[in-house]
Amino acid sequence: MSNIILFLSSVIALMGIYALLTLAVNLHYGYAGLLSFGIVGFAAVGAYTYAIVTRGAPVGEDVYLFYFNQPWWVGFLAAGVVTTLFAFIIGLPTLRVEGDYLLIVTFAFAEVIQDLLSNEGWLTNGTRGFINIHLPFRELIPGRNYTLILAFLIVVIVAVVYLIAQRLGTAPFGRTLRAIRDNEPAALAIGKSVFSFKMRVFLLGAAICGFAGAMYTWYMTLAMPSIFGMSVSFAAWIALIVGGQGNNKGAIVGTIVLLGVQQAFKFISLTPDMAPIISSIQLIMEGLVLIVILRFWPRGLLPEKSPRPPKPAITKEAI
Amino acid sequence: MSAMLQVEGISKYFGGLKAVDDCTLGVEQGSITALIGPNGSGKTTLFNVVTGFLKATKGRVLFEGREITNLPPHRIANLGIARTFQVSSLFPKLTVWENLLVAYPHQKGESLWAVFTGQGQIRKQEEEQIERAHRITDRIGLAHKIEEKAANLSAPEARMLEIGRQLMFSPRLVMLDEPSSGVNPAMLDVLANMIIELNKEGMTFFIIGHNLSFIMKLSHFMHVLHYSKLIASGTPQVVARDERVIEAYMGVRQ
Repeated sequence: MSNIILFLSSVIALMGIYALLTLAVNLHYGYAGLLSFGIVGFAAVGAYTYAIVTRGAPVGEDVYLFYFNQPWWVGFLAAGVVTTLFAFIIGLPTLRVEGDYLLIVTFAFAEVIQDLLSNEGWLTNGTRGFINIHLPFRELIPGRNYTLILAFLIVVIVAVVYLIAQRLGTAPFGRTLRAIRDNEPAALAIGKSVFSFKMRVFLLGAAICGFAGAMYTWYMTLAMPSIFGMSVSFAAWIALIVGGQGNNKGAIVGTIVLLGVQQAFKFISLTPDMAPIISSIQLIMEGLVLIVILRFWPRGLLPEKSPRPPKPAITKEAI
Repeated sequence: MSAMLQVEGISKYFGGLKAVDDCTLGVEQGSITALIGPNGSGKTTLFNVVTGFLKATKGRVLFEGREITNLPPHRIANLGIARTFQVSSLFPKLTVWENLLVAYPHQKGESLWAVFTGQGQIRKQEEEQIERAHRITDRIGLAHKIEEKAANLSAPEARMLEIGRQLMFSPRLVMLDEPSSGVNPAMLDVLANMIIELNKEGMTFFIIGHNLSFIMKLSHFMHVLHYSKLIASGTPQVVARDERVIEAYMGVRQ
């Protein structure tokens, strides 16, 4: 029984991390129409920032030079800050290009980041990566039950980010983003500084990815170049399309559906020789989920909802 | 007296192609001024240069005495020049009321800081503006469609909403690119009356038109472009009798 609970809490933790990435894709694409595929690149930057900031001195064959020995929350905040700085540098030239070009540039960014992680050993410890990641509250809960705490912590963070995304989405800020997405020249013609809006939402989404990256190292207990492959970006995108673009609830629901299907297969891989078969079927299943959902819910499970108009203030004449 | 909008010797070349060639014209404050000309004569290009969507090759543009040549489009808009496009200027996935509210200037809720700290202020501003939006939808006959997405409006309704949004943005100069396209004859009168009404309330219009009877009825003053050059300016009566204008539209009399 307790095994099942531990398995479920690790599933919930993973779902939470992906939910953050999907919320970020929703801010970028669902609200602002930015074809941003660099999600995993930002997550990698966040993860490695966390690892380096919380790291102790190198041992054995470790080759990294920088370590700061800080508590987890310093690393966590640093992950957000450094990722935002990265996004600013990436965004300055790329947000001026539109549509498909932005997609190519952000895609390339994520690939370059992964290569840098493998090759710049002095900073990232190369392909060995960082193992034994410093985990929050680890001292308090030794042993296997730690997964429960981790799941709880992640759920709380997801809830906070969801509320922030929701607040932004329903505010005039979100409305202007959707206007820019729908018709950029018209947004310029009513005086909106399109670049500033794109940049701000780009930074916000990237920061969320940075935090999610740090959390991913908690979940994996390590940071390695190989876990930051393009498949992470694709999963977040599929989750958003399944759940519904332009809808934060949809982003969460899409993640639960997609990862639910994925993890259900892990659950039935009972014997070791079945594992490779199951892991190949898992990819087929991801595609199948996407096709089935798009067949029956072309705009996703929870499509973008038009907000209700605010009630006009009661005028003096009415009183 | 100098005009509200002054275009001085504006040229726009695309490589060897002269899309607009040394154009000088003005739009008087409080007027409805038309810009007409055969297809491809450079009307929309001139609009794009004035509103900053294209950079001028030569010449300068003055708005209320201030040089605005080659400023970025959103800066020019915020100085008080609104424009529409030949294609729709609406935000299709936004509702009618959102299409209106998105346009009012100085929105507190567009600042990330205010979104998290000044919720009350934002709500107050939004409530004031939704009242304006209700008055506008009453006026443009879309009160019953306020929660409809703009994508679901008919072509004339969409045109009316574009005009309505100018009211929300409250610019001093409105530049309309082909407002009559896609509008049926019955609605055309409604549209014309709307423009005349707004003009009487003090809004200046600069309108590109293909539909000559519509534009003749509406405008106080006309400029005619032909092969990228300004060939005539004057009141509709004068322009209609101008030899070069007749030639441009009808061809040379044999």
